[in-house]
Amino acid sequence: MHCSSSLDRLNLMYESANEKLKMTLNILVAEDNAFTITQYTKILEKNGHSVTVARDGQECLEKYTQELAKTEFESLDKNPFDVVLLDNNMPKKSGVEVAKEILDKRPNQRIIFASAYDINSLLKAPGTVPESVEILEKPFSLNTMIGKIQA
Amino acid sequence: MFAGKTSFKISGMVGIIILLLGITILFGTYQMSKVSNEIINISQEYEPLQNTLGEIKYHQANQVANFEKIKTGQLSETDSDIAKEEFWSSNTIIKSNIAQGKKLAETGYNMAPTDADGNDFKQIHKMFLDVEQTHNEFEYMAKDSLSSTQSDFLLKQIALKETQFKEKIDNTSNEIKKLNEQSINAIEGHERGWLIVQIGIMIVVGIIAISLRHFMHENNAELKKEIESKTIELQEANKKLRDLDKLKDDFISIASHELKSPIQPIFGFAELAQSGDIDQKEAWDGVTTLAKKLQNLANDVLDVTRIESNRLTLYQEKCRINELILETTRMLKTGLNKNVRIVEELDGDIEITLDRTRIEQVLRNIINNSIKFTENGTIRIKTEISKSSNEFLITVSDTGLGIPEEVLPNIFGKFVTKGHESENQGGNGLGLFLCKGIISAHGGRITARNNKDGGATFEFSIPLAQRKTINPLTN
Repeated sequence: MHCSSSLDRLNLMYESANEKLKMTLNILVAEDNAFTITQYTKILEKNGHSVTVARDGQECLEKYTQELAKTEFESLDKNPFDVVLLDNNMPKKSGVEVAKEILDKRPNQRIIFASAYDINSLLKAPGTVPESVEILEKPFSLNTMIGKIQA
Repeated sequence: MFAGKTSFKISGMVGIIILLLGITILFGTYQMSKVSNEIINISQEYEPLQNTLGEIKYHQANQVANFEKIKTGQLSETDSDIAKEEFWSSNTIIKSNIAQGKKLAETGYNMAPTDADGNDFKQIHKMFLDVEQTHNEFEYMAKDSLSSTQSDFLLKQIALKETQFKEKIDNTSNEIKKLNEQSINAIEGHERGWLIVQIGIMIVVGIIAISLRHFMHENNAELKKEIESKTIELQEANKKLRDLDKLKDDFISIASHELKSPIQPIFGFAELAQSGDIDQKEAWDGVTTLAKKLQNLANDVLDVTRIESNRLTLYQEKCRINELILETTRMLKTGLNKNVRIVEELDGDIEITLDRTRIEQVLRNIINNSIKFTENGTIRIKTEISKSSNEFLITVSDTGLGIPEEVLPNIFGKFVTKGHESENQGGNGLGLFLCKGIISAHGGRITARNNKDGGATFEFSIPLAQRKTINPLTN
């Protein structure tokens, strides 16, 4: 009895872990390099996530706001995307600006910053990158990115 | 230079002041010593004269007393003889004293420092002569009187002479006294005069010192102003340098970012090809495109540094410019995948000396820009010879999006267009900077403007006159 209950519990844990692994994440990617966009989409979709693409900062904000308007009907607490992956150097609006505006709307939105700029100089300038933003320094392996997003 | 001039002026002034003070002190000392010497000399002269006169007076009184004693006739034989003896001895002493007085006056005359002093002594000498004569007369009369019988008339005469003599001596004495006082006064006057001169020099020195102070104060104010303006100049230069340094830093930062950004997709292609998510050909094509982009960027960055350090070398040759344009557009037309027409309206088919590769680079850059920002429309390329300015003019105008107002003033700068282009318009932000550099190196101008009815126009010129020396420099 005792044995079987602990086995059940183990089984339950395994299932929940598996579920988490296969969990579909809703991801907004903002990136201006066409090749990089294709690659991100390919690897993210392969891992079972849903990807929304924006080609510049402004488009990214627009897509975020649209999604926010939709999801707010469902739940006030739910963020429109699970993760926002931001490139810093984009046309129209930089990644830093976009991150700030998103955090103004949803302070607990998870944002990952993917930038080729020297990360140290980004971090040193105070107020440039909000603290809660996670950082991925380019160039990175696509698997590293997946690991970070699913972490 | 300014400070040098000022310190020279100041040291000159100080030198003059020290010199004047030195001269004053020197003159003062010299004058004091000279004056005291004169006082000593003159008083040395006048004193013995007065002494002599005193002696004469004393002995004359003696003589007269003895004479009167004898003349009263109440003396014994012996006493009378003694009196007579005393009378004559007094006479001798008087004579010798008069002679001494004359001699002293003569010495004084010889030693006198000025003519006026000499005249004084001459006068004294004359007075002594007068005294001598009076005494001689008295002597004769007294002698007569002593040897002869009593004669009231003679006695009266003698008494008169005696008084005369006394008066003469007193006169002389007074005269000497007067002269002594006069000479002392003259010396004092002289001294006063010099004192005034010294005071004058002191005042002049004082005025110079005060004006020097004023001058220095003014100079200080000038120097202060000079320093202030220099400080401002330096601050401005410093600010300019800092701005330039910032521009350089920005360039390096953006350029290195641009050089780094294709690396991410290269890694991505490799990873995806390895895992079999994309096929090999797609990966190789992608990598090749990115490598080419990197190569172009590296070349452009090199060209930028060449232009900025004025080291852009032109390989000039004679070239039919219109043919070069047609060649370029033919190539661009083949790669065109938009509904865009390229129309050439070429005029003035001539040969121009230019760097073929570089001018082609400019043409390609500008026409490509027009293609990039024109979704569908016409790109018109016009050429003409401007006789007035002796230039060949090339105009590229499109019917596209135009240039954003905030970008237009700096359109030929580095990385200015970054952030305003979407991916399919993406360049590296250096093209127009290079165009300007290349055209400037050819001695031409390049301008950009928005058309009234939409689209943008770029115009550049190449000088027709062949320059003797190839100046590979830009400004």
